[in-house]
Amino acid sequence: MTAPRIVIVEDEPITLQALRMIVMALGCEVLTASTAEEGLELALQTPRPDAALVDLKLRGSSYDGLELIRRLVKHPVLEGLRVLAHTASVSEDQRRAAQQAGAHGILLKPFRARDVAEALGPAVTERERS
Amino acid sequence: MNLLRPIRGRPLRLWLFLLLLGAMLVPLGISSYATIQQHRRELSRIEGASLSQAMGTARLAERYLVFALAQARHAVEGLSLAERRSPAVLRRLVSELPILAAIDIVDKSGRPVASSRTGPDAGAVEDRLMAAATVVERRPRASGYVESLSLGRPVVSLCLPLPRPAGGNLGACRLVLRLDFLLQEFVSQTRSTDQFYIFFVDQRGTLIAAQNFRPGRNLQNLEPVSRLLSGKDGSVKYVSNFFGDLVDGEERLGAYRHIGDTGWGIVVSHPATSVGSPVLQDLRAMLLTIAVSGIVSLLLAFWTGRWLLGPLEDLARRMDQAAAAPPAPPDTLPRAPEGVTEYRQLEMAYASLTARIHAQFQQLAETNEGLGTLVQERTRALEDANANLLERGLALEEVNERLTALVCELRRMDALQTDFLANVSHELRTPITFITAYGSSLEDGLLGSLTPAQREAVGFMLEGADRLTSLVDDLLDLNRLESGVLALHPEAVAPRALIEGVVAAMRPLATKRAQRLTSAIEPDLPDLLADGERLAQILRNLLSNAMKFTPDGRSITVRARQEGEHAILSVCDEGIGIPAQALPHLFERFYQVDGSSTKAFAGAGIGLNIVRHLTELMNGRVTVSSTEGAGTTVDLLIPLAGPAADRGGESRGSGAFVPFGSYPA
Repeated sequence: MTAPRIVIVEDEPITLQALRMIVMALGCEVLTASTAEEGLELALQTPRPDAALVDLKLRGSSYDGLELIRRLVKHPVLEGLRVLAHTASVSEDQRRAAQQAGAHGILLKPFRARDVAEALGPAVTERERS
Repeated sequence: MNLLRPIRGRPLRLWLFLLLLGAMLVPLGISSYATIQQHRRELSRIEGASLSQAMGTARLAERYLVFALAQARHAVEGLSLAERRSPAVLRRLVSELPILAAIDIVDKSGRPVASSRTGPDAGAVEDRLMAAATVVERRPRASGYVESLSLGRPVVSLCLPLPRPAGGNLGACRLVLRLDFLLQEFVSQTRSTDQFYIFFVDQRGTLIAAQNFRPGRNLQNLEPVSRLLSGKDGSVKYVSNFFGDLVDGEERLGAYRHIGDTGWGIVVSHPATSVGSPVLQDLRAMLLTIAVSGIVSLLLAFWTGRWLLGPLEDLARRMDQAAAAPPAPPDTLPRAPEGVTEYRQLEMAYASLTARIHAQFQQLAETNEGLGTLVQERTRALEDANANLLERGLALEEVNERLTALVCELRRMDALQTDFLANVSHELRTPITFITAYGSSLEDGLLGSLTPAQREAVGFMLEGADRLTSLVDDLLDLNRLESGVLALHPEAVAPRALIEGVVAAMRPLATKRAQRLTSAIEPDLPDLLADGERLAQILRNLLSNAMKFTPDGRSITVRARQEGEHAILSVCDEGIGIPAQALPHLFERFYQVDGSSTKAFAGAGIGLNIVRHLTELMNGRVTVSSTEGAGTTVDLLIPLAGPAADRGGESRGSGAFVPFGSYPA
């Protein structure tokens, strides 16, 4: 049994660090990126990841998290990838935009370890089951 | 307005003239038409009469000739055989009958037997041939002009078969006729006028006898003759031609008739123009009458117009003058014909009108004078007031401008505040996340197991982070509520699930302080029409308030019941209560019951304000009742969902993760 592979895209280093720690504690293999381009590249590596956790606001990228989600969801190779957004914004518009972009859910900051587990839940349990 | 300026339309005089002319010309035209018709009938009657006269004359002439021929024939046939051979007897016969010029007798083989004539012409070949043919055919033969020419004299002859006195064919006799003599004798007997022309023509249409006419002319082109040659008797109106008739181009009437069985014909003709002239004379008279009528009409129209229209024009001119200048009192009346009632009425009406206008004008002038003074006074007063107003207006304008600028500035600041708060909220969440993420990891043992003291410390850190989060959320909500940008999503919400969810989420906190947190929900309570998430927020807010002000060990209850079209959700505590004077201000922004710096309870004073805003946005109402020292009850009045309302999803509780729809398989 191989561990589930999770891609985390986050431009804020401490948050990235915290997410990596929590996800690794859940027994997953973690790939981290701080820009959208890097995130897409990681997602396309083999073996394919099981889930991607994408920050909607990505400083220093040529396109934002929403666009990355769109590309991940539409990519023919990445069918079945669980794509999750996370954001510090509470605006309804952001949530709706993420949903329309094709994300499976949104993780609102501030979050706790169990919120991350809940968000990744299906991807982790699926892999465990297989 | 000038009434005398050129006005479109025809003057009444012209209408009058046309009317009179029409009145004269129409009967004239009708009578003229009747006269012409009568003349036409008369003309055709006269024509008919003269044609029948010509016909009668022709018939008479024919009878005259036939009688003369029969007389001659009888005389020859009455001769004995011996007498027939005697030239002397024959000569005596010729001298007795003036129609005869000569008599020749031939035997049955055509040879000449005797003749009244002496000389070489007695036995002309053509004569002999004709006589022979007469003998063979045993019927009379008439010669034509051409045959007669061979005799050297333009006379015509008639060959008759001569039977024996006792029967049987003996031979023939040839009667040379003097037709012109006969014609003249007939004319003198019938006393015809010169207008009549009588022609005898032979079988080929050649003239053989006529009054004042040389025989031998070919008349075949003459219409009566050509009809005669086609074998008919009758009469015709025709145009004469130079070759046939006397006068070229003259209209003539002609009767034509065959003469016995000779093959010759007779034509009687006279001019037709003699009866046409009266009509032309009538036409001329009619034209003259029309001209005279026109002139008379014109004169009558002129005179009538002057008589009828003069006063009207005069009146119009006077009215025009009156319109141009202020009216003078009516002095002279327009001259009008004595007998015309309507003009009298018009004059009287005009006079009374002028009088009234005059009176009103004078009254107006007086009023005007008074008004002028008044207006002057008022104008002065108005000018003063105006100047005053202008000053004030300028001041007001200035104030207005300053106010507008102020409002703009305030709006700008409001927008700035909203942006600022949104930004601050976002920036605060990130560091809070550090605490919650790591704190929860520690608490959950992800970073190794903790000692009880460490666990307690981490718990306090997380509680602090939660308070910070809800404070940030409240501030942001408040700002959005006040700037009106917070949108609610009302839907049908099941009250039991919602209340029990919130109570379950809050229970751990209550348990820590040994408070009893329970819910009592009326069975069969219908769905609410509310934004589930926001209603949960309201309940959380009220519950955390209640827990804050309720001493440890006391109980807090959430009740729900139906009342009419609404549900009432109550949060009841057994806390310290609220002073009566504080109750009206409880839902105001930043209001706190104990505002002193030594107050016993922490809080920013915005929670209840948000509760009121959100409840009112859901068309609900929030009320509070309290007894100091005994407890407080907050009632939420929330509308019930109708049967048609959509059933929304469950509220998300207090977790930070929001799933979208179903997970992929």
